[in-house]
Amino acid sequence: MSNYSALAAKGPVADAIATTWWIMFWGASAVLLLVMALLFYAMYRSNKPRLRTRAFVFGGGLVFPAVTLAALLIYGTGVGERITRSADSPLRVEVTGHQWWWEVRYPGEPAVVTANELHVPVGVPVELTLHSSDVIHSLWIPSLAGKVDLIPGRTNLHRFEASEAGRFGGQCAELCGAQHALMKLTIVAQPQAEFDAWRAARATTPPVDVAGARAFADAGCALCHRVAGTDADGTDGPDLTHLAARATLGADTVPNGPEHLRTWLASHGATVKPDNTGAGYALSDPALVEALARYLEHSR
Amino acid sequence: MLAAITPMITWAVYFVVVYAVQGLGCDQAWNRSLLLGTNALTLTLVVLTVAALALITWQGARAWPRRSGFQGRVAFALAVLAVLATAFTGIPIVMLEPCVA
Amino acid sequence: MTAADVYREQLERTWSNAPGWRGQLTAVNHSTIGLRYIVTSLAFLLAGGMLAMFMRLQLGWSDQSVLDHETYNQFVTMHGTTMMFLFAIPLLEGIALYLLPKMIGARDMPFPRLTAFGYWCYLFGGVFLYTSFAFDAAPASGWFMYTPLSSIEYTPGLGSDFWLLGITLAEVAAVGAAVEIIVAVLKNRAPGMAITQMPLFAWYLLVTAFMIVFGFPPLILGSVLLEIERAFGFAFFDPARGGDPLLWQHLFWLFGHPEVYIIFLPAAGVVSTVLPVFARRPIVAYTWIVLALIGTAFLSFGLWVHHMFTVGIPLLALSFFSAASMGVALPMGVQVFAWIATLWTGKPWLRAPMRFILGFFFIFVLGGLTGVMVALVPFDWQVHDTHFIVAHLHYVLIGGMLFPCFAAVYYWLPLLSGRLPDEGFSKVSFWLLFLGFNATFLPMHLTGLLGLPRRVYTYGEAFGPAMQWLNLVSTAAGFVFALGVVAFIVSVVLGWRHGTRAPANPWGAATLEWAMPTPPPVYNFVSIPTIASRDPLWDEPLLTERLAEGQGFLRGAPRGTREMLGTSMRAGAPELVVEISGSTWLPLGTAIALFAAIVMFMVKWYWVSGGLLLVVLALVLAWLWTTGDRLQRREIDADPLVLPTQAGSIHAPGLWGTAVFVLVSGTLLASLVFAYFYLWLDADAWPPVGQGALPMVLGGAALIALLGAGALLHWLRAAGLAAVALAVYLVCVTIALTGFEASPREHAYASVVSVLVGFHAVHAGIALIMCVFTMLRPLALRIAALFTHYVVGAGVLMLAVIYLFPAVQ
Repeated sequence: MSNYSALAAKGPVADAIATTWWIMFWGASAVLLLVMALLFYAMYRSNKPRLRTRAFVFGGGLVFPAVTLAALLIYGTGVGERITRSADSPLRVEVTGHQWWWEVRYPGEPAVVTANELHVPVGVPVELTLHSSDVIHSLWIPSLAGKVDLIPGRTNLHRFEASEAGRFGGQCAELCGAQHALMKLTIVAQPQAEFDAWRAARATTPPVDVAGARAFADAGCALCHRVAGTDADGTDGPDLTHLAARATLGADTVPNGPEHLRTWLASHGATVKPDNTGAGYALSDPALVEALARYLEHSR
Repeated sequence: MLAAITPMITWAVYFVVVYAVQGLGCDQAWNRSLLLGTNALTLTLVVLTVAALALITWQGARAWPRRSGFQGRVAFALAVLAVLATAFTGIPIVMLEPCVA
Repeated sequence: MTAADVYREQLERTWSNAPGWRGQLTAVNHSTIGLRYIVTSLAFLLAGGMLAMFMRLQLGWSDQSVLDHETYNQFVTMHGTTMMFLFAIPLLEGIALYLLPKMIGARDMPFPRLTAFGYWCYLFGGVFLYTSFAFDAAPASGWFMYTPLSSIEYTPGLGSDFWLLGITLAEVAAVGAAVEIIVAVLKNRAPGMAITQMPLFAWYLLVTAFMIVFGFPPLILGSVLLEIERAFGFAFFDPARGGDPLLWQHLFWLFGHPEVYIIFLPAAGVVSTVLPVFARRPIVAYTWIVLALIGTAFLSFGLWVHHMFTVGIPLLALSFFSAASMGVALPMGVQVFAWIATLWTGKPWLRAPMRFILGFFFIFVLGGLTGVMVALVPFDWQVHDTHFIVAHLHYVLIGGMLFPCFAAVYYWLPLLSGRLPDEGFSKVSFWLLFLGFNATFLPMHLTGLLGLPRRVYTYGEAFGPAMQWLNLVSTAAGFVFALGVVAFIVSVVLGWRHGTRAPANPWGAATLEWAMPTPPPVYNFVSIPTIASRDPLWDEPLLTERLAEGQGFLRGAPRGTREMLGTSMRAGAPELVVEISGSTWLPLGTAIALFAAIVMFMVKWYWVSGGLLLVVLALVLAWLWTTGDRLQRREIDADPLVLPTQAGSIHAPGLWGTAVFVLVSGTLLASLVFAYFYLWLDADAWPPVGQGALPMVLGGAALIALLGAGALLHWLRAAGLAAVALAVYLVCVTIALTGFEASPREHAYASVVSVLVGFHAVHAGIALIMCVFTMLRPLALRIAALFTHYVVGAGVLMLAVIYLFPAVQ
């Protein structure tokens, strides 16, 4: 099964919901079978026993569903309560939705900012703080948790925990414009030590290639993108520090690699993600594409 | 005709009121003040639920002697439905912290 | 020539539409308009279905390029919009308009011009929406139009405007139909048909119509607010200026969830009508079904937030809606078990309509069960906005609405055409539809759980091969389903043209629509029956012949006017002879003027638009002027009773219609007040810092003028003086607004206050015109008084909200 599946739960939240699903699936199947059996019996059987209609309608239509639904409601409320219970000292991460990418910020000193990649330690409760910079988005990580919307002007919380290491798919679930379909992110669950190492590495400033940084600024990239250690500090687009260390480009649209990076730069993503914001920054000069690609590949 | 649907009207009013009180109570932090061993907001909601249940039961009981007629029967049956719907709403009120998102 | 021939000849002459094209454009008859609704909605079904087929092709495998992202978003938006607003609701309106008078023993709906006007609004609204494709400006923000995606900043083109204006126009039709249905059911039943004896279908329509009255205004209001925000830069949904995008969601789903039941209930009414006929016995638990209906109507208004489980509302608040969603399953259960009990205790036989009812059972029960699942908050957090929901909603809507409607078409085809549908052909179409449907949508439950969100135009190979194969099955089966729709339409057309001649009442039904020749004459009944039971045709087998001979009320049309009966709400005792309008250009003319005003508004020619609204007003006045008696009521010999005409009566349909319209308007006002308080809840100060209040003095003056108008009308019946007082009120309000020290473009507070005042001023203006109208038409006083009193009450509420609340908060 793919790492997008809500049924292949890899954490307690998704697990509780998956269990709920299987309970409801078998219960609903039984009810459907029962009703269909009654219907076909009533329709096709010629010598039926007399029916006490009032008891039948009252019992089958009201009492039976009332009892089962009350039980289901109690069970479901319990599950909801467990899912939303806040942990004592969770890892807090701020996630901001943009058309069509995710900004991920680990607060603290020093803060770590990345995009479209959410690293979490295994076995540690995570509490995401969700914001939106433009329209409504919704963050869904099927194998770890449900989804919570990112709404402009509001702050929402999203709680989950990964119980095993792995890479899990996450995506936007609320129609948010042209490239809603290609607004994804990867959740990397890793052992605490590995996570700490990753975070420490991200907190460092990578060596800066001065000529590359100038080309980056001259091409206008710095208006929207930040690269630590340089003057580039735009915030409208993803932070490109350590870009080379990320697994994908364009919010999980294509794998990160020399070829994809260059095609991306040449069209500012428009070839793989049409109508991507910032399409005006497509680069027609192959030499400039090459220079910027080398500059960004340097930043790991 | 209006008499027959009073139990549902009671449910509707109850529903709007608990929803509004929940929103207002969380806004005003009533859930932080303790009252009779629980928080003030939950207590208010429980009282509202009990009151609604009592009122609907009374309305249903009033219709019981008239159950031979169409209107009495509808009123009584709607009271049954309204009691169930109200009780359903009461379940999460006693189970949940009122303001956790 | 027998007496019956004379009656028929009189009725034909009086009730027929004018000949030729002119007759088509001026027709107001409920059968003509009802059929027109049905045919138009089926055309929109085909259009919306085509969009769906393209979407299925695109999703048939990962990374397809049948549609690009923009076109896909447009198609996904237009598919949902078409099916909900331009197909489902209008089809049911059409069925209701066509059948209801026939079933309750009336000759027409009480407001035939409104019937026609509604149809034109629907047609213009729908076609207008589709012309957006021609301008490459089709809306693409989803059928739910969430702000801020649909706002001017993120959708700068005309896409959202096409949607907001077109759909609002189409909604006018639904509201108009609701007003008519309520009045018809309550006040125009056949004599003796007590409300406890009317056909269940009439109950379903009555309840549905009330749901439209309370359910549609929130969306109409939301659309108006969003359009004002887009056109004039007001702030309602923009958080940077004190607005809130969630306000839109509340307003939308306050409409949107009842809407699902508005679509489902009439279809369930078809089931409750058709099923007993094929069980060959009266329905079991009539009373329980009525109670289930009323219960559903109430509970369905407590479900709206279950579309908003992921927006970050506290779990407890969500759980209220979860509980109500569970609660609504109870009346559904009652209906399903009552239907099964009817079959159990009857002697069922299977024909085309019944086959579709059986299909309905399977699909609808399955959809209902997944509905219970998604009502559970934590589970919904996983499946919300995924293909699981796509599956669920199609099970509920296609199972709950399309299958019963197709059953209805087969069932009433002999009535419409006098011919029977072909059994073999209908079987083919049924199995194509049933198997195609299930194979299309059953896999979607799984693709949703496997991680496929809704409204994505593409998905990658990363989702795994199961995702690809399941989607391929859905796509392939989707075409089988589409073939089934085509087969259905072909079978209906063939049955209509070449089917075997149907005997009278071919299915052996008990309801009155079969007590007439087929195809039915425009006037339905030669004379109006007296009803004494729930199943008139079963209890009185010779009824049809007796009516044809003229043994009933109002036989023939000796006076050359279109006459029907007005009866009492509960017992159905005759009270009035209602004279209704014949063919006229007014509905079409008014609809064209209104439509033109809307188009001019969209292109921002506001002055032209305003001028056209004056034309609308003039046409409406002409419409009202030519309705009913002007100065004095008459007595009409309805044999065996002599009854007064309607104008000025407390039982007049016009008065009752006005009362229903007041409910609609009151709900609009309530939604607006809700918006006011919702925005207040999030604000730090009210009025916000830097925004002034409306001048207090003028508020006081306005209040006095308003109360004065009400008092003058109530105690002195002085319509002229009341009109003067209303004019004074309008002047006060206008001055107050010009002295408003807050800008609607800067903050939501000023926006919502301005709209409140403006909304009420429009109503006060209408009341003023009505009062003046009454001076010329004294019989209209009761109506003008009713409306003016409402305006006074609404004004007091509005002034209290604006002036009093900020002072006492």
